[in-house]
Parts: sequence; C-alpha cells; structure tokens
Amino acid sequence: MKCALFSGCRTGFDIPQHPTSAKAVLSRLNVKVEELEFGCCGYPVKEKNLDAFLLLSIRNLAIAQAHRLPVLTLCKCCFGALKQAEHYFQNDWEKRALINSMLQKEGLSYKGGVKIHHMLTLLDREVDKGVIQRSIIHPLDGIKVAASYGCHALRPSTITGLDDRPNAPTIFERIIALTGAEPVNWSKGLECCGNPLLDKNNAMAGDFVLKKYETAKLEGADIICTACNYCHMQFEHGRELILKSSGSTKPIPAILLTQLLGRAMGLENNLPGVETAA
Amino acid sequence: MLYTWSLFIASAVFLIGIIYRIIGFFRLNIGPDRAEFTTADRIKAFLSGLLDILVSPVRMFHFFKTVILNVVLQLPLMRQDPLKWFMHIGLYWGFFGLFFFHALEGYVSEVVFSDYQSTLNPFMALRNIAGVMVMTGVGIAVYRRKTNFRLKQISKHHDYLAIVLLALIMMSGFGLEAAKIISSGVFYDMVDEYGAMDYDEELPVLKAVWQEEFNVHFPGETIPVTPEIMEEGWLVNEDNCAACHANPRWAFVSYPVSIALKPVAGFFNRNRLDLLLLNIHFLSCFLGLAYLPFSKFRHILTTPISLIISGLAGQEIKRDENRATRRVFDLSACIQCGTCTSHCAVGPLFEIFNNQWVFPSERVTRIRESAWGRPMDKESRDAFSQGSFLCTMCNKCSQVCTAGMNLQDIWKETREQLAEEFLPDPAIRIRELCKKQQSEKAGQKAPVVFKPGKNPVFESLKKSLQAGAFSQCYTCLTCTNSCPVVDVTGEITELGSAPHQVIHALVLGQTDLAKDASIVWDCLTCYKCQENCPQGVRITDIFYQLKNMVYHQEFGI
Repeated sequence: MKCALFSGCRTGFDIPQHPTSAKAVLSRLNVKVEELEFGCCGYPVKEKNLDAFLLLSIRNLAIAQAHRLPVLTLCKCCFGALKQAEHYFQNDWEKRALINSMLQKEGLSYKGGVKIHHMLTLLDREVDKGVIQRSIIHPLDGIKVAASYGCHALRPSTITGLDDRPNAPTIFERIIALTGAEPVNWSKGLECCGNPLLDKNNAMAGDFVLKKYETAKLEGADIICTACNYCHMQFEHGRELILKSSGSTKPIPAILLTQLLGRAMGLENNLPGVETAA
Repeated sequence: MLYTWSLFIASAVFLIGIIYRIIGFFRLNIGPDRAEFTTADRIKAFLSGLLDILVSPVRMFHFFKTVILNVVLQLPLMRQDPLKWFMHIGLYWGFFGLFFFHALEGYVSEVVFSDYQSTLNPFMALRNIAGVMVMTGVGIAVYRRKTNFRLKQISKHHDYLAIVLLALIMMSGFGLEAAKIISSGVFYDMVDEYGAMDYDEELPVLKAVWQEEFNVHFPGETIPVTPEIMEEGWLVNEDNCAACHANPRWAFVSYPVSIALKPVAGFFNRNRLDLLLLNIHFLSCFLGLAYLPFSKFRHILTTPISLIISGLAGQEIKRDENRATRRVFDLSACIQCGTCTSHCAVGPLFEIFNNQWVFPSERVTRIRESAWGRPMDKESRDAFSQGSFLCTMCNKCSQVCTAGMNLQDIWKETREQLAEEFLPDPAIRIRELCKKQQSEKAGQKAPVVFKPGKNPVFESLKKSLQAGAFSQCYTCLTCTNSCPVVDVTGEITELGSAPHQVIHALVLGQTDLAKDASIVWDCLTCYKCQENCPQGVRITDIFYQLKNMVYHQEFGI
C-alpha cells in the first residue's frame, strides 16, 4: 500500500528523527510513502479561529485527495485535527462551502472522505501482523514500556476512532507487544502530557509531564513510548526540568514508537536510551 | 562630463551604502535587547571563523564545492523549480557577462582578449545573447509574479521597480546599439577618425554599402547604388572598416530593432538621438549601482556569501557571536523571491487573518526594516506579533530558502523579543486578559442578572455545530470529575474553575461569565470531559469556541 506521509510541522526542526525513523520502519513493512506539499494540520490555530483551523486542515486533505492517497500522520495532534476537520466537513455544510471557496483560490477542492491513518492505526489495521513480526529481528525482550496515548488521537473517540474502547484502549500496547517488549499497565497512560499549556501556564504544564515520568517509573516502566510530536517534545521538556532540578537522577527515557520499532527491526543501533533501559 | 560626474556620484553612493551595510552587519542585533556582544567581539569572531575555513583543506574543498554547485550553477534552485532556475540563470549569467565583458570592457575584455573590439564577433553576438538572457529572465520574473497566486499577493512596488530598472538598462542598451547602426553621425565620426580614403570617390561607394547592407540611414542624401558601386564599396569597406566591424546582422536583436527604426531614422539621425540613448543607458546603469545597497539588488553581493555560509555550516553556526551577525546579514541576503511564502505551512491563513505578516518573506522584510531604523507603529506591531505567532516553526522556510538563510533562528529570536516587549502570542495575551477580568469581578458579589432579549453571542453559540448542545447539560458533574486540571488544582473554590460551571453559565445565558472562567483558559484540551459527558455536550469544543470569541473580540478576526 501507499500513503501520503504527514510528518507534522514539529518534525522540521525539533524532532527530525520522527519521519526518518518512520520511513525506515515503513520501508521494512512494504508500505510506500510519498511526501506531499502538506502544510500545517491546523491544530495550533484551533484556539484562535475555527475557520483558520478548518482551512489548514482541509487543505491537506484536499492535497491528499488530488493525489488519491490516504494520509498517514505520525503525530496524535495532527491525527486528531484532521479527523475533527473531516467531521466538521461532513456535518457542517456552511463550513464546507466556506472552506472550499477559499481552497478554490489556489486551485484546490475537497469532496470529503480521504482516509486518515495514524501510525498506530495503520500498523494495527492495515499492515499484516505476520509482516511486522517477521521484521522484528532484535526482539526487545524484557523491556517494560509505558505507552503515552496522546489525547487528541484518543478523544473524542466518536470522531477520532483510534480504539474501540477509549477508556481502556489497547492499540498502543498491541503494537508494543509485537516488538517483544512488555507493555506495562500505566495509570497515567491516557492522561495529557501538559504540552497545550506550555508557555501559558508553565507550572501546570510541567506538573503533568513530571507526574507522568514519576508514575511510569513507579509502575515499573523502563521507558516511555510516545507516538506524537507534541507529547514527545513535552517529554523532552520534562526531562530538562528533571535534570535541572535534581541534576543526578536521570528520568527514564521517552522514545518514539517508530524508534522503538526501528530498534526492534535492527534499523537503529545507536538509539539513545534503549540500551541503558535494557 | 555628465558621464564622469554621474559615475562619480553613483560610485560614492554605492560605496557609502556598502560601508554602512557592513558596519550594520556587525553592529545591529535581531532579538531581545541584551547587548551580549560588542561590535568588536563580532568582528573578531567573524575573522577567526574565516581563518578556520582558510586553514582547513577540507573546508576549503567544501568552500569551492559550494561556490561552484550552489552559487555559480545554482543546483538547489534547479532541483526546486526548473523554470525559476532558468529565469535566474538568465538574469545572473547574462547580467554578469554584460557587467564584466561589456561595462568593464576596458578592464576585462581588453585585457583578456588581445583582439577585442566591441563591434567584432563573437563579442557583438555574445553581447546580444547576454542581453536576451537577461530579458528572458525579466520576462519570466514578471510572468511568475503576475500568475503565481501567492507571489501576486506579496509582490510590491519595489519588486517591480527592480524589474523595470533592469529592463530599462537592457532595452536602452539594445536601443543604443540599434541607433548606432542607423546613425549617419556615428558613421561620419568613424570615417573621420579611422578612415583613410579618398572622400570624393571612395566615401560614396562605402556609404552605399553601409546603407544597403548595414542599414545606415543618411538623411537627405540620395546615394547611387549599382552592382559596380557595391563591389567597389565592399573593397573600401574591407580596407577601412572590416578589421573592427563585423556585419551588424550579428547583433541579432539590435539589428532588427534598427530595421524597425527605419521610418524614423531621419528624425533620429538629424537629432543625434543615439547620444540621448547613450545617456539613458549609462544613467540607468549608474542608478542601479547607487540603488544597489538600498534595494534587493544588494543580493548580488550578499546572497553568494549567505549561500556559502549555509553550504559550509548548514543551519547551525558554532559561535553565538557569528549567529548574531548571520541573523542581520541573512536579512540582507533575502531577495523577496517568495519561495518561503509559497511553501509556508500556515501561509494559507492569509485568507482568514488578512495579515501579510503571516508570510515569512514579509516578516523578513519588516524585521530588516525595523533593524535598520524604521520602527513599527503600535498597530503594526500588534499585527506583526499575530503573524509571528501563527508560525509553527516547522523550519520549511529555512529548508527551501534559495538564499540559504537560517530563518528559524530569526523567528526564534524575534518571538523572544516580542514576548519581552509585552507582545507575546495573542493566545497568551487574551488568556491573561480574561484571567485578570475574572479576578477583578470576583470581588463584586453581584447577583447573576438574566439579560432580557437576544444575546448575539449566545445565539451564535447555540447555532454552531460544535457548541449547540450545551443546553442538554443536567449538571451531573461528570466533566468536572474527569477533568485533570480540576484534579491538580484540588478543591473548587472559585467560580469558573470547573467545567460544569461554565456550561451551566451558558445555559443561563451568562456568556461573559463563561468566557472569563479560569478553567477555559487552563483547559488542556484533553477532551476527557467531552468523551465522558452522558448528554453529548461538546465541552472542550465549547471552550475552544469561547477562546475563539475572545480572540475575535480582541483582534477582530
């Protein structure tokens, strides 16, 4: 199969390892990716203007539609934004007409119905389990992984549809288990990472991520796994906070799902953190 | 006289402008006003960085590689857009060809080629080829700016002024060459100076040849032409002229122009309009020279350097002093080509916010103007801050920049500066505004007043897809119980710190109360409340909508 890879803005400078590792992993799984001229998913402007959010979001879907490709996002916030935009597009006819009239100026139009995947849903629903299992050549036996779900992909579940059971999802754990690692039952796995409040209420934003680090370690995790650009940046921010305040005690590493998979597939040998955790 | 003085003045303006720029590169600062480094520090760091390159063979290799591939051949541009590459190569090579071998012919062409004559081949044909290259580039530039949806939006007067000036130089050049071809005046001057012939017998036959074959027009003269006369004329031409004059047909643009001028040739030659064209040609060139340090033409000098810097160092420069210098320098390497803007992840937002500072190319221009002493008024600063913070820092602009600028660093520093000048992200500003209002109102224990009549905010909320369901709320508090923010803040002590209170305020039509509620502004947007609401109230989406409303109130969008 072939997908249009939607890396998300934050991968351009802050976490370039996300698309590179994703592409490496996908090539092992025979998923072809094409990188289109996507823009922002719209999530960052949602709090400012709904129309702005919809314009940016739908524009990406229109580009994907023009290339007849499903969209594959790496970031939970991008995934949620595109799903929400599709929901508005299908249900709010006024917005639908407004956005299409604006898209027309640059020669685009959207009819609705482009398939939107997140890396997790793609691996869970579109890629054969056997193919993934066969590609795991260095099983991560004995590593306990805490999956940080990421709010915007998980909820509102009726719109995003990441997992059938939004209050007890298992999709992330299912994928982690394929690598041979052991997913831990983490009480804060479904909680927010705190990133949306960064720069607005720094104390609270820091609180959330620190609590996630703390509980993950307490509940037996060796590493935290993320599948979202913003979550990942927030964990990197939290790591800095911990190192600044304590200095000596290092927090457990937080790595991207695609890095975890890459490691298990023998693609990334010098992945920081994994060796120390194992 | 006019030539000497205008050249002198233009060169003086050019030199002063260049010196002014160079001093500015090491003196000015982009970003928070910290005065970290002195000008001397920065010059020192620059020189030591330069020395690092010069002493390292590996870096010298990369230096030459960058110069050849990225500067001379412009391969990155080729990969991006072949039409743009073709346009720029035409402008760039054509212009430099003309500049060195035509404008500076006394210093270059005559030194390099022992038999150089501007009217001999291949020089005459090459000059036309170069002119055509530049004109082709100018034509494509106009076409792109007029047809590309995004470029059209950002093209300003000065972009067209640069194109017009370049076109004027080229067209006056072709016109001058054509005017000289038809000019009897030039013909007689040349005969006086270089001709060694019998004026009574040989001159008329030579004139016949130059009139018939080389398109010279002799006003008021009837020159007899017969095959014998022509034959003789060719011989005279061979003896006197051919050593320095190729057939003017080799000037394959100017010669057709001279044919087109034929109907007005008499008027042209009687009034010596070729001299007028000469004046226009060199004056427009000198105008370009004087204008260079103050216009986008300066990129001729700055962009190669910024391309070399990015080729050698990539996006990250080691020394902070050099980073500061590079920020200022990069701003002057920008050509306003609009590549960043066409690729900008949030560029389409111009449709909504109607704010030109959504576009990276426009922000660069404004930051440069501010840095060089043209501060913004309050309103523009507000709009500029809005545009700056719509940017998602995706780094695309730096990756596609045809001038090799590190825009990411410029955005980062500018945003820090804005935050320090009390112009942070508008989303943060409205948040603080609402929190302030809420605490002010908290003291007054005014009873909730039901406003009679229709409340437009309330009505619009009720109608919208995302917020319309709030009246279904029966205050079961599931939202509040599932809210992680309430969990962190602990007990609900003040009004507006729990989600259910906001929804209830809306049910009562108290939109102001809802908008100022602290939970709206501390919301993580984790959607837990909405997910768990048994009545299907889209609480998080309502909070988004309330934030949108305040943003609209404060910024008119």
